[in-house]
Amino acid sequence: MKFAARHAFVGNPGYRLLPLRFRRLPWDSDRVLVTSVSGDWLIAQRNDFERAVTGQLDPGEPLFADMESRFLISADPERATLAPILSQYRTRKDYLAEGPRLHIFVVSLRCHHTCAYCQVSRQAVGQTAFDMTESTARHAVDRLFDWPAKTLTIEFQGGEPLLRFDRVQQLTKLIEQRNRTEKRTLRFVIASTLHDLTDEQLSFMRDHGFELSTSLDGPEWLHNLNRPRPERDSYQRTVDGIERGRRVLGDGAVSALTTLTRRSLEVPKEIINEYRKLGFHSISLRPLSPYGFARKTGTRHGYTIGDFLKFYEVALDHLLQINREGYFLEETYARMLLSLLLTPFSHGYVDLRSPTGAGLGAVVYDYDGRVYPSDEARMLAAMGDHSFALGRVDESIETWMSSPGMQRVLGAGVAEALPTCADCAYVPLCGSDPIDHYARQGDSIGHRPTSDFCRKQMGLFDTLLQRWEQGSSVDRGILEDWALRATRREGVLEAA
Amino acid sequence: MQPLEAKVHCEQWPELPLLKVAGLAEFASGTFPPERMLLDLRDAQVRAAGSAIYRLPWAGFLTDVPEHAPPSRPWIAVPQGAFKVGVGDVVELRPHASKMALRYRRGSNNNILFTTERCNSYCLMCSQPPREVDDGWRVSQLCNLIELIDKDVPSLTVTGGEPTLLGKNLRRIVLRCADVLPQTHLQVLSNGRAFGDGVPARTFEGLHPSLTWGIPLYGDHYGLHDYIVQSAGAFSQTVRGLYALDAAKQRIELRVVLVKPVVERLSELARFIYRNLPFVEHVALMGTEPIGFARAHYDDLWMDPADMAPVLVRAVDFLSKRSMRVSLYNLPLCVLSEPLWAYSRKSISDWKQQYLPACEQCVVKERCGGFFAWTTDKWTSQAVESVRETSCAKH
Amino acid sequence: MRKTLTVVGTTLSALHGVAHGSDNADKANLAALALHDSNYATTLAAPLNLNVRNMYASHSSHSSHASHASHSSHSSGSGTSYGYTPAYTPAYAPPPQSAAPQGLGGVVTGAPLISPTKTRPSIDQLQLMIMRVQAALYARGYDPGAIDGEMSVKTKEALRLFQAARGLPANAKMTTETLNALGVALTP
Repeated sequence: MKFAARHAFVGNPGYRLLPLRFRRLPWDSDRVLVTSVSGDWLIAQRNDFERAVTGQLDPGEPLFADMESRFLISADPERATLAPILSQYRTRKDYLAEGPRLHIFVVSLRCHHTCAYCQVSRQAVGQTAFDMTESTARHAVDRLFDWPAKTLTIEFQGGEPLLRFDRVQQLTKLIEQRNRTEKRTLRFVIASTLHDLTDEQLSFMRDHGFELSTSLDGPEWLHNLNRPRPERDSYQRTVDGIERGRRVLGDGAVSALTTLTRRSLEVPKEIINEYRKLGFHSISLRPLSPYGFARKTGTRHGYTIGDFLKFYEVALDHLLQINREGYFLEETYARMLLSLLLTPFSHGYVDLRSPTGAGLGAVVYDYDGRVYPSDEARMLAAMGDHSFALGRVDESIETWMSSPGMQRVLGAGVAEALPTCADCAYVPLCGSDPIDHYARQGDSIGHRPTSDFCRKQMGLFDTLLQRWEQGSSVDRGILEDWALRATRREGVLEAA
Repeated sequence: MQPLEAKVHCEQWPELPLLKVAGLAEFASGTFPPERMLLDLRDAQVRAAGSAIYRLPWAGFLTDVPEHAPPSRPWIAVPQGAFKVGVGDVVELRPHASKMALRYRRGSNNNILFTTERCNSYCLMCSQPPREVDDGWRVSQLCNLIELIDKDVPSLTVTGGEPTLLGKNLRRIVLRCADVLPQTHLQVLSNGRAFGDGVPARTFEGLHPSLTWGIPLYGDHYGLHDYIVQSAGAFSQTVRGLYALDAAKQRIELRVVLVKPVVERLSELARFIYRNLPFVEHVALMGTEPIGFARAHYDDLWMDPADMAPVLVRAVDFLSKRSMRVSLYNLPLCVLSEPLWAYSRKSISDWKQQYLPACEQCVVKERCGGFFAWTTDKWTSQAVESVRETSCAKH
Repeated sequence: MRKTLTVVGTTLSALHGVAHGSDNADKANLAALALHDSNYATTLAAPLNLNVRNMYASHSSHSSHASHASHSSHSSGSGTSYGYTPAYTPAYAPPPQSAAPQGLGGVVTGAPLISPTKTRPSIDQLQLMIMRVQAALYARGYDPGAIDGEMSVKTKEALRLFQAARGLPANAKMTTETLNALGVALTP
């Protein structure tokens, strides 16, 4: 039996490019990021990449094998297989399977606060006309189970859902009862200020395995500044709520997010230190959105995405420092983006998907029985624009999916088909947000060079990629740890 | 090193059976019929048990002293020597050649079901060089053998050659094991190519209560893998086969033999496995067995394991951080850095294993798998030496 | 999903290829490959976190939710009864000397039968069973007298001693518990 040398197994000479996109690294113009159709990637020297694209790679050089192994090029089709890249693609888009898993129930618009940037179009505490009726609730539960997803996350929002807790209880019981035959996996989440939380409410939530999601903008002075209450003690009430929630439901059941105002951007370290002080291991640094009251007060409280990205870099470095000291604290958006960069898996966040998560990953059932594909669509409606409404809770989900609102969403919902996105190296990992573009730019397809959404995504991808590839091995380890925890075979969080 | 075959003295044997060696306990348990057993007369307790037990329809008797055997009954005498056969073992007798071969050893850490000498790959380091022979007769012999194996044996390995070349008979053997030895874990060593080339993997779905496929993968691109296995198209078939097995809910272990060209791209292979084959249950990184084809390819293949240290550490760390189980086989502890010891397994089959003179003073000898019996100086790491102290507590 | 994968696969091939040789033929090959391989593509499952050892064991893991079950859990089958069924009929025929042992007069009555079937076992089967019990006792250091298939006084005595040592009722009866304790299989 004659043994053949290595070169005998190269096959037919030459190679072809598989679909790929590239991006010159902002922090190093001599190198490029090259991504495959499924989001696998490598970083190459620019001149090497040019050789690759013009057919000049030698089969013996390491870059050839590196590109083959990531399905950026393919050599002899008689000897190659595409099954891995097809599997990667299928896996990356796995969030499409089963339909919407996140279902938001807006039980009331009433709220204690008068936050300037509020996107909720709140109503005063006494205005019960803005509560969800029983009839609406029952219809919504029926619609909930019309969807096929095996895992359903039910999130109660408002206003302040605690102000109409009886409705929360009723919905929970209706859903659990129906689930006895349906046998889905259920998750209950409540997005609340946690103010004036009663023991009864806590017991109920404990008995039904609720998770609590609250807003904590930072240290006391900042939180109270951002979230005015007549009593001026929002921070204290929130902290009390967090503490009591943890005691009754367990530490892991309480999570917090920030909303960043212009003032917040000046104090990234203070905000993060506050989270550490309160024993959180997860922080969400969430920039303002252009909806609700935020839009009206934009000039006073707003800022550019460029400002936000500068803030984020400082915050990220501070987080790395804290982690280096041995305290685990992750930023949730970074965790998601890193899991996209460093793993082949899909994720549970509805706000960065292609096809878009609006309507396909999440559905919102408003207090008045109207249904929307996302919170942002609901906000637009609250401001008078019903372009993205899907219908009513007493209509079928098929009606919703074929509504003009949904058509508008779908028409601009596939990032790979949008101008500029189609050529972006990050598109296999990124998402489309037609409603955001419509709200900010007046057009659901949008104009990427002036899009805040785009600038934010690209800025964050760039920042994280740079920190990872240039970081010390300790920092790389920290960032990888965030990414890997996100994709460990455990429950995946859905963002609000 | 224990031989698996010996010349024996035997008289009055009518045919070529597989036989289980039995003592009183085997008789008492009733698991196997006397007709398929050799009563072991070397045990004085058996001889003292009385003549009634002799009258049972034993296939024959195993003895050092032919006179001990009842007259006109078949007997076998095993000469003194390295070949050991004991109670519970299963032997194959070839009376015409006066030879006895051991087909199952009770207490061994690696009993195998050898399916065929044929193979469709020709790996540069193959330890069992293939032969193009018609050995389909092995299938029924294996089915017989399976019935004589102890029900409590923890695991068996189905190997060859390439077991999938048996076609439907492979499924038959696996099913027989499922029926007769339901408590025994079965590992099939295969290149998986058949499943990537049209043979349906789903015929194995739900077939056996505890089955894993041990499948070699040598590179992250076809040029490297096909070269190592000396077969064009092997990589794409194996990779497709892996997906087909996963779709059929099969458990898979990837096996990577650490020959030089493979080690040079081990980091990339680990990455490829995570990105494309994250569903595999286990990744085994294996020191080369210096026998068979490996010997002829020393210059292309040999890399001192001690020189692999940084690459091994990186690959093991990479995979285990991603929750993938990884083990190191066939590598003595002295050539591995200490953080890797926890991943090392005593993998060399007892009958082909040894320690070296250098191991005399070693404080971790008990934990170490040692060396292949047929290792030579040039196939042994320069770094082999007794470990005098370790940072771990004594186990 | 298969259709989607095929579309992706075809897109994969409809590219600005830069290979030498016949461009269109290569594109067609790649398209065919994509179509063929889409039959093999699966959705990749993330590795199941089963407390896999971390090489540089650092801070404790901070996971919250329970992991989902994997289809590949290790489960061994339940044991079946230890009766054997020979795959072939024995070719060996006993020579005339091994006639049925003598001394067993009449049918054994009174002793509880241990066969799972309701019919009485044949005398041969019962003798064999007693021989097995005697061999098992012998192997465990008790003295049942000759291993001859007869429920002799010595055999009963040995059986009683064994049962007492095992905390079983010392009644010299071949009960299921006794047979299990001895490691003797029930015959079908």
